[in-house]
Amino acid sequence: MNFQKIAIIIFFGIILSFSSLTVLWKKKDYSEAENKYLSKVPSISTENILNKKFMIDIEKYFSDHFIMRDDFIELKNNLEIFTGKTTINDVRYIKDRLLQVVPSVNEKFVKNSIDIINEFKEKYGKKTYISIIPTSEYIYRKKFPIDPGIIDQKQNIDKIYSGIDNDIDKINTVDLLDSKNEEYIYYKTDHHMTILGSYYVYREMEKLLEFEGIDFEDFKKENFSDNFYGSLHSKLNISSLDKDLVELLKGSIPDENVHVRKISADLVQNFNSIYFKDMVKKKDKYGVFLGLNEPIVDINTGVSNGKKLLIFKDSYANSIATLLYNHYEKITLVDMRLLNEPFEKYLNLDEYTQVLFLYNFYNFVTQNDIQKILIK
Amino acid sequence: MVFSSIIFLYFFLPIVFLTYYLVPKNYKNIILIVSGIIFYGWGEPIYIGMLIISILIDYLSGLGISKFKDQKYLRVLFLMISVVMNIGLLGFFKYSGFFIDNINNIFGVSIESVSHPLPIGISFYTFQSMSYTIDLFMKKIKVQKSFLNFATYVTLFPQLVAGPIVRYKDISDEIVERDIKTNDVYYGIYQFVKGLSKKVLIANNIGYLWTTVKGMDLESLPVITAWVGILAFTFQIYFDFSGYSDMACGLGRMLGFKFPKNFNYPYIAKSISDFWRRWHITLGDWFKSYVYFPLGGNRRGLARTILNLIIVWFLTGFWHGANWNFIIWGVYFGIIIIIEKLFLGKVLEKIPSFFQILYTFFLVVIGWVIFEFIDLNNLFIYIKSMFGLNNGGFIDSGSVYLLVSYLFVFIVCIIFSTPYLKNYIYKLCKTELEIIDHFRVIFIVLGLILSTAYLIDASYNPFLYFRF
Repeated sequence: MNFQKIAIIIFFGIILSFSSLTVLWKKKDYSEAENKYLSKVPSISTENILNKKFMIDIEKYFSDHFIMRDDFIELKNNLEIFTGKTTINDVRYIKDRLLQVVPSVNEKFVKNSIDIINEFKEKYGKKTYISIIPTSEYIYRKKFPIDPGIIDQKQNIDKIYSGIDNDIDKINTVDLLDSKNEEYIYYKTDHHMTILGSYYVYREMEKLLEFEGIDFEDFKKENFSDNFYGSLHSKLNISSLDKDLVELLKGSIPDENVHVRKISADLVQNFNSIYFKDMVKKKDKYGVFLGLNEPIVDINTGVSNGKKLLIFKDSYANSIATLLYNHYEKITLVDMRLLNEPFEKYLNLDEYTQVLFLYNFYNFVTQNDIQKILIK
Repeated sequence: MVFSSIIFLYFFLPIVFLTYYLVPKNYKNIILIVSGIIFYGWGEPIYIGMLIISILIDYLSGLGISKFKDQKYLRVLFLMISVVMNIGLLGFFKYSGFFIDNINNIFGVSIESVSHPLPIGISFYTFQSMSYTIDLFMKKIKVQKSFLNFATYVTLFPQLVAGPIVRYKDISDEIVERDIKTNDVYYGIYQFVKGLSKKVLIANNIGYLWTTVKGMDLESLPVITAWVGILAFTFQIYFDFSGYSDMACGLGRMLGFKFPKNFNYPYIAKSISDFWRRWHITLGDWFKSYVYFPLGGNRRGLARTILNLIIVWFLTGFWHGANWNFIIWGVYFGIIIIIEKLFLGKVLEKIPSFFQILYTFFLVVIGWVIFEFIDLNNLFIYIKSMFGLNNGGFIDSGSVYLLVSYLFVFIVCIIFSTPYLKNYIYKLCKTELEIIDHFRVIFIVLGLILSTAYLIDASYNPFLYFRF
C-alpha cells in the first residue's frame, strides 16, 4: 500500500474513532473537572429545528460529551501556557497558582452599593461594619514579570470606604494580607481564602467588632482534605499544579451545642455542625465551611452572651464565619445573590446587635445584588 | 454549518464522505445536493426554500438564454431575470437597511427599516450563480441541461457559504464527470487540515488579542498597543479567511473538484495592485470579468479607465458590507491603484523589494483599520491613537504585556503568512521529496488533534467572512 493511502486511512481513522467513541461511550451528567452539569440530548421538533435551537444544543451536547474532553482541554491549556499566555478563560496563571481576573470595576454598581449601605445604616441605626477583602489577583500582583493590567484593589477599596458614612466602621485588610503574601492565605486553585487567610481577617476584626480573638495556637487545627482542586482549576485545567490543602481551625464550642439552620424559599434544613464533612466526597471541598451557599444561614452557638451578628455576604464569609461564631450567641448570614425577597421576611432585624457587610473585592465591584437589601 | 466545529469535523464530514465514496457514480451528485442543503440548512433552516428557488430560476434562465440563441431580446430578458433576481436578493437582504437609513438621513424622512438577518453566504452564492448565466449569455460556456447537475454546482457545500467564488466554467466538466484519485484525496486532506489549523490555532488565537484591544478605551490607547491590535487583526483576517479557503479547496479536492486558488501570500505583495492579485483572488477575478471588462477596462482611454476602476473598487468595497466604511475601504484601494498605474508603480519598481513590501503592508494595515470600524468616529480615533495624536502616550505596561503574551503567536503568524520557510524546506529536501510527505502526515495528525482540543474548549470561534 502506498504512503498516500496510509495517510488517508489515518485521517479518517482518527475522525471515525473519536466520533464513534463519543457516541458509544457512557455519558456523564456532571463534569467533576469543570464543576458543571453537562448538557442533555436535545429534543427534536420542527420548531426546534426552525429556530436553530436543536442545532445549537446538539453541537453543545457533542462538545460536552466528546471523548476525552478533559484531556483535550488540558492539552489546549498547556499549549496556551507554552506559547507565553498568562491569562486564559479569565484565569491568570503564575508559576504555582491560579488567580481570578477582576475584569473591571463597575462604577455604577459600586456607587449603588455604597448608597444602599449608607441608607441601610440610616434607616435601621444598627451598629454597622463593612469589610471588603482583596482577592488573590491583587495580593500576588508582584509575582507577574510584567503587569497584565491588574486593578489596584487597595486604591479602589480606599475609594469605596471614603464613600461610606463615618458612623459605619471599616475593616481594612489589604495591607495586612499584603504583608502575609508569602504565607498560605489563598488557595492555589480556588478563588477563596484558606482558613489561615480567614484567620488574619478575623483577628483584624476583633477590635472593631469588640470580641477577644483566639490565638492561632489555641485553635485545634484539623486537616480536612489534601485533595482539593478548586473553582479556578475548573476553568483552567492544568494537572501540573499542586492540589490544595483544606484545613479547619476549631474553637472551644462543642459541635453538639451548635445548631445550623439553612433557609431557602421553599426549604428549611437543620444541621448540627458548621462543618459539612460530606463535602470531602465532592469536588468543591471549600464547601466544608457551611456547605453550599444558601440565601439564609442561621448559626446558633449555644453561647449566651447576647451578641448577635447579621452578615450580608458572599462565600468568602463562609470560612470566616467558622471563626467568628466562637464569640456570638447567633450569627445569621444572608446571601443577597440568592435571595429575591425582602430579607426581613426571614429574620427579625431588631434581634441583632451588629450588622456586617462582608464581601470580596471581585463581587463588590462586579455585582449589584446589595441593592436588593432595601427592596420591599 | 461551520467547518471548524466538532459537529462538522466528527459527524458531518465522515458520514458525507464515506457515503459519497461508497455510492455508485450516478448517485454522487445527489449525495452532494442533499449534504449541501443540510449543511446550509444547519445554519439557515428558514432560507433553504429561497436557496432552492434561486437555483431553479438561474437554471431556467440558463435554459432560456441557450434556447433563444438568435433572439437577442429574449436572451437579454432571461439574463435580466437571473441578474435582477440575484442582485435583488442581495439588495433586499444586505442593502435595503443601508439605503433606507441613508434616505432617511438625507431627506429627513423616517421610512421604517425592515431588518432581517442576512442569510449566510448570500454574497457568495448569488455571485457564483450569476457567473453561470452571464458566461452563458456571452457564449463562453455550454448550457447545463440537467437540473441536478446545476443544483450540484450551487449547493456544493465546500464553497457554498464563504467562497472561494468558484465560477461555473471553473468546474463545469467536473460537475458532470470526475475521477476521485488517491492523490487528490490525500492532498485535499492535507489542505483541509492546513486550513483548519490556520483558522483554529492561529486566527482565533491572535483574534482574541484584537478583541481585547478593540474593547479598550480607544482614545487612550498607547501607540504600540494600537499597532499591536491592528496587526493582530491583520493576521486574524488573513488566517481566518485563507484558512477557510484552504478548507474549502481541500474538501473540494477530496470530492474530486479543483477549485481556483483564493490567496497567494498577500502580505509579501510589492504593490497594492499586486496585493489584490494575491488577496481573495476569486472575488477580484469576478469583478474584473463581469464589471471591469464589460465597462471597457483600460481600452477606452485614461479618463474612462480611471472611472472604471473607481466603479469596480466602489462595488468591491460595498460587496463587503452595507456600511460607509466598506465603501471608503474599497475606494481607498481604488485610488491607490490608480496612483500606482499613473506613476507610483514605476517608482516602486526602482526601490529595494523590502521597501516595496513595507509600503504595501503599511497601506494594507491602514486599510484594515477602515475595514474594522463601522463607526467612522471610532475609525478616526483609532487612527489618531496609532500615530500618537491622542493622549495615550507611546507605550505602557499593558502594551508590553500584550506583546509578550502574544510574541510567540505573532512569530508563528509571520512565518506562516510568508513563503520563506516553505521554500527553505523545499530547498533542503529537493533530492528527497518523500520526506515532505512524511512531514505532511505528522502535520495532519497533529493539526487535527490540536484543532480538536481548541474547538472543544472554544469560547471564541467567529468566522469573519460569514458577515458578507
